[in-house]
Formats: sequence, C-alpha cells, structure tokens
Amino acid sequence: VIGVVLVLVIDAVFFRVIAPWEALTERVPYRSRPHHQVAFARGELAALAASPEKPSAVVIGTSRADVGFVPSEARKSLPEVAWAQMAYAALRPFEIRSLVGDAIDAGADAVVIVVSEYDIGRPLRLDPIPGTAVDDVGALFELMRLGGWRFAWENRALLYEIPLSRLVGAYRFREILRNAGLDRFRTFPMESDHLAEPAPPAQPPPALTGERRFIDREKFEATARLFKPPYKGISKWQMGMLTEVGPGPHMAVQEELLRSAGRRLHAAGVKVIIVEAPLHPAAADFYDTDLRRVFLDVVADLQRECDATFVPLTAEPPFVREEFADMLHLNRKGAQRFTGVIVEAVRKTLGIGAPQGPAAPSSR
Amino acid sequence: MLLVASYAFYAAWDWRFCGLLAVSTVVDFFVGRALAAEQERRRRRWIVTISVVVNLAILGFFKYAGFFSTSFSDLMGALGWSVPPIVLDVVLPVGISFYTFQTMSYSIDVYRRRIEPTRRFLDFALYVAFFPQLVAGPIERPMRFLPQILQPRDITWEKIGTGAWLVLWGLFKKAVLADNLAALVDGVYAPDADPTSGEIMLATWGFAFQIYCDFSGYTDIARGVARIMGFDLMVNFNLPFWATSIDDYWRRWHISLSTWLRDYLYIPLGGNRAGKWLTYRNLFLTMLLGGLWHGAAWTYVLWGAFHGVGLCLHRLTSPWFERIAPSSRVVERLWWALRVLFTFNLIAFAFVIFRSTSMAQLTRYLGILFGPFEAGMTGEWIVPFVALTAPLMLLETVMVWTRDLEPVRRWPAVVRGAVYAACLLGLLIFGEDGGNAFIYFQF
Repeated sequence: VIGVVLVLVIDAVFFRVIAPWEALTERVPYRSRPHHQVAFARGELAALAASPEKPSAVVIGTSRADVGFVPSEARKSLPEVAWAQMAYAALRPFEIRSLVGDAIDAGADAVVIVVSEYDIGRPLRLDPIPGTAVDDVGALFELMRLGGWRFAWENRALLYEIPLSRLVGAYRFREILRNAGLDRFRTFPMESDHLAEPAPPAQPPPALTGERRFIDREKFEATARLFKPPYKGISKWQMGMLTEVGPGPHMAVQEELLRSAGRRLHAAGVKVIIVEAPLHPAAADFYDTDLRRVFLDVVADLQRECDATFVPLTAEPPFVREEFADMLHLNRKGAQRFTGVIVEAVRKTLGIGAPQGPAAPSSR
Repeated sequence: MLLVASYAFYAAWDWRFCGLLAVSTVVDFFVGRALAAEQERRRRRWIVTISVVVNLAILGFFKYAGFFSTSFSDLMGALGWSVPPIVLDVVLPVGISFYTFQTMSYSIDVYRRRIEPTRRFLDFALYVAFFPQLVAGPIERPMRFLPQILQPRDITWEKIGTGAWLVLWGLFKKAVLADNLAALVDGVYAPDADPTSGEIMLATWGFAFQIYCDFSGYTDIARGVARIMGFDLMVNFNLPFWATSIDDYWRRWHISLSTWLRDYLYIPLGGNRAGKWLTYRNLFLTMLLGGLWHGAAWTYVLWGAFHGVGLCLHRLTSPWFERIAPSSRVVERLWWALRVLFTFNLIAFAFVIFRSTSMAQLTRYLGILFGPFEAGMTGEWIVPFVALTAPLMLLETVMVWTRDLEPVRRWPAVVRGAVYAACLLGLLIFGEDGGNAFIYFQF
C-alpha cells in the first residue's frame, strides 16, 4: 500500500503537470509515436483554455492533418479564432473518440475532424496513447462493446495497457522519459554490421481487419517512380498501408467510434466540422474507392445527429500531384491550400467575418 | 473453484491440451488407487509402470518424437542410407515437462509407500493442475503439496503482503531485467550474427542473468500468487550465482528439478552406493537426461553432459580442495569469492552451449571465444549491463549477508514502501510490455 501511495504521489508531483513535459518534449528527439505530439497538443490546448475570450477551434486528425494543416497560416488568416492542433500519425477513430474530451475540457467552440474513407477503412489498431485519465475510459468500454467479447479477449494485453497509460503518468510519458536519456540504461546499441539489430518498434498489429488488396508489382514500382527520394521509399511503405484499406469487421467499429466522437462533442455544445482529407491521385489504385460511399453515409449520420458541417473534396478544386509530398501527405503548397479550406469552414461555422491573408482561396 | 480456474488458465493458451492434462491426472489418480488396493510386489511394479509409460509416452510424443526421428534420419544419412525423417507437425503443450514429472512423482511415491494415495479426485486434479506452478514449476512433490490442498488453508495479511512482494519482485526481474537483457543476447546469438569474443562473453553473462531472472521471476510470481491463496510452494532458486562449486550450484538452481532427478533417477540408478565409477556414471547419466529434459536438441544434451562431467570432476577433486584451510578470515573470504567467481564463469560457459541455436553456431562461437580477444561493442554495453544487473545483485548481496531469501519483509515500512515504489516505477518506465514469453515455457 505504501509502495502504491508513493508511486501515485511521485506521479502526481512529477508527471501530472503539463509544463515540465512541454520543456522535456522539446529537448527529446522526435520519434513518430503519439506520446510526443499529445504532450505538445496538451500545451496548445492549455493555452486555448487560458484565453476563453476568443472563439476557438481544434483541428484533430492523423498525420494528414498534422502536415496538411498549418496553424501559423490559420492564425494569420483568421486571427479572431484561437487555434490548436491535435494531430499525429496514430490518431485513428478510437483515439479521436478518446481525445475529444481534451478539446471539450479546453473550451473549444469548434472541432475540425480531418478524415476520409481511408481512416475508417484502415484496420483497427490499438496503441496505448496518453489519453485523459479516467475521463475517457468510456471510449474503451465502447470499443469493447463494439468489438465483442472475442475481440476483447484477443486484445486483452493492449486493452489493459490503454487504461494503465491513462491512469499513470509515468507510464503515459515513458517513451519521452526513455528518449530523454533513461534509455541508455536499458538498451544495447547494435549499430554494427556483424550483429543482428532488433526490429524497430513498428505500428501495432491490427486488432480488427479485413482482407488486404493484392497489387501487382509493376503497378507498385511505376507509382513509386512518381516520387523522388526520400519520398520514394516512404511512398512504397504507404502503398502497403493503402492496401490494408478495405471492407471488414473493423469498419463498423471505426464508423461507430467516429459517430460517437461527434455525438460527444455535440452533447458538449461544440460545433463539429468534418473536412475530407485528400489523398494523392495515384492512391486510388491501391485501395477500395467504393468505401467512399460508406464514409459519406457516416458523414450523413453526423450531419443529422450532430448538426455537423461537412466539407467534401468535391467542393474544392481537386488536389493535384504537385500538391503532394508522398502518397498520403500534402506538401507545403498543398498544405497552404488545405489550411485555407479549414479556415473557411471554421469561419462560416462560427459566423466570423471574411478571412484575411493569402491562405484563403475563397477570398480571391 | 481453484481447479476450474486452473483449467481456464491452461485453456487460455490452448483449450485442446486440457484433455492431455486430464489424461495424465486420471491415469495417475487411478494408478494411485490401484496401488493402494494391491499388496503383491510384482503387480505393484506393473501398475506403477503404467503411470511411467503413459507420462513418458505423452512427453516423448509431443516433445521428442521429431527430434529422435530427425536424429535417426541424420545418423542413417551419415552411414549412407537415406531414411527420410517422419515429420510430425505437433505443438509442444506448454508446461508438459513439469506436470508429467509432478504426476509421476505421485505414483512413484505411492508405489514406494511414502505417501497414502488420496481418495479425492478433484483435490488430486488440483495438485496436478494448480495454475500458478502448472506451466513452469516448481515441480511440487505430493508429500509436500497434497496435504496443503486437502487441509483448510490459513490466509493472513502477512502472507498476502509477502506474497504480493514476491509477485512484484518476480515481475520486475522478468519484465525489466530479463526482457531488456534479451535484446543483447538475441542480437549476439542470432543465427546470422558474427560477434567478437568480447561480445559473446558479455552476451553469455547477459544470458546467465536473463535466464535466471526469467525463470526465478516466474517462480517468484508463482510462489507469491500461491502464498496469497494460502499455499506454500517450494523454494526453486537459492541464490545460484553465489554457489561455490558446481555441486553447490545444483543444490541452488531449479531445486525442484534437481531434487526430482536425484530422487527418481540418480538414487534408483544406484546413487553413490555402488562404488566410485558407478557413481560417476550415475551422475553423468542423470545430468545428461536433465539436459534432454530442457529441450529436444543436441545442444541441451551436450549442456547436460558438460554439467555431468563437471559434477564428476568436482567429486573427484573435492577431497583435495577440502584440505585447503585458509589461514585467516580475510583469506577465507577471498577464497570464497574466488570460488564463487570461478563457479559463475563455469556455469556461464555452459550457457554458451545452452543458448547456441545449433551445433554449427556452438562450434563457431567456441572457436571465436578461444581465439584472440576482440572487444567489439562491449564498451558500449557496459552501462546498460551494469544498470540492469545491479538491482538484482544489490538485493542478493543483502540476502547473502542476512542469510534470508526474503529480507525485505523485515525492513521498516517506509523502506519497504520505497523499494516497492522503485520496483513499480521501474516496471512502468523500463518494463518491456508485450515482451518475450517466459523461456521455460518451451521446456
């Protein structure tokens, strides 16, 4: 009992406070794990909560939202709104459902969810992300209800890690602690050509998935040639991810988690804006484009149930190859235009005057 | 309820093998009943043979059939005949080596009239399937463990507290120490690795600590969980790396197996009663089969043979060593330290045989080890190696000093709390979640 009390005291004193984490995460080399970016996002949300006089908007989504939305451009274009971004690679519907509570707690007036059929068609993966303590354990129960008892049993190890990562800060931020220098006490460097280097931690295996699409090798290579290094290699890897997008038992769960996130925001009085995320035109060869219909059904539900605003890509001039860095992510030019789309959607939804600056295409 | 929990625990791995567990249980229960009803010596021998044959047949089929078939095929190939091996695609049931030995010991003890057979089938079934020790021991003896099941248990706060500490310490040893050391060992002992002599040396020391923390960690968890429920499982490890000789080591390492082999193999073979040379033969055979018990591979057989030879040599030379009488307390301490260091390195050397993935790797690594010394990356591995082994060595030094395997429970509450908190934080920050399975599950 004394041991547990001591751990909780240490946890409360050292790990519950945001500021030390902000300072620490800035010093720690970036690794593409969500822990880092959640720590950053928490800092932004704290700043948002500190200025309640301004209407505020939070942009949530995967790395496509992380790269595609440029907060500095948004702040310049629409300074009347306080902006925050909560976007990183592993932010899938389950994580969106788990983290919307953060945006609500920060007093956001609008939440922009950047999403497309790609996100709901991807396999369900579970990563112990740093959620908001017990507040969102509800998301976990919802996931177990949607997945069923068999799913819960098969993924029991991950499912216990998720609440643990939320309840204990030391565990939640352990990757940051490890990367901050503690790792040298437990890892054995193997940067040697004569030793077998252990495989780097990859994204977790799918907890629920459908069948992968088969893509012939020639098509694969031809598409990879569209990109220059380093994006060539990245795009090959992303093509593999795109082939995972397809119908299966995971989709119903992903859809419902997205609906649930929307309902939660709506119940808290937050405006919900769904912005369709663009994909490279060549991506269509690697995944099931028929899933867009399913995605539009989910959006229709959100519009009906949550009074959500939807910005489909058909409402914009199509994003062309020159606006992409790789198969999934926009380049600087594309991101500037996409930020303009988001800014315009927020402006309209919050009923704020016409935007300024170069980022908003509708003003020209 | 504990029986249902135990079968549910086993079914969580693979429900199909619950049947195998049940077969072993039913056979030995009825062998025990039959032995109770039979007085004629010759018939009793036949009855106990049923238990031995059934249990060894289960073990042999699931664990050794493929190995013997391949080895026979290789032998025939070497003699010029082509005999394709019979390929059996069977899964090795987890814990099979442990529970078959446990049930056999019941039948043999009843046969030897050391215990009275139980009439309560469900209690006997729990003795075989008791979940904390089902998959990786300790291999409990019926004389010690059955009475605990048959009689009401005494659960106290003290037992719950000390049991919880054992669970925490075992988990720490497994998830923090063993699983982090695994990265070093796996990197050096990968089939295509080409390490230097220094790297093999450090990785082998690392493996000694890894397997010890892994296996004794499991035992601690099993003992802790059992203690919380009012059971007292036997001590399976008694500071083996502080042994002063190979003989002493086998009194401290995997005690439940070494005493099992002593009582049911070494002594029936004649033990040390049949003269010097037969004693050596018995020692060697016991260790050879002990090696084979660990796995169906020639590296394990060779490892057992190494220990067999080591025990024979120790027996041969111990009268000479016993004559050495240190002249002062300091010299005595130094002599003790020297013996501990020598024994540890001897044991670690044997682990090169144990850990090698094939005979080809073993011969290659021995060639490198006995060649010129090359440090390779050892300099960069010292810090994590020391950091990971230090908590264990620190606590074990206290255990040796106080001659108490659980000194923590005697410390003041605040100190205990700090140790528990350190272990919990260590687990949370350094623990390898979703790490490796326990090494001894494969045996």
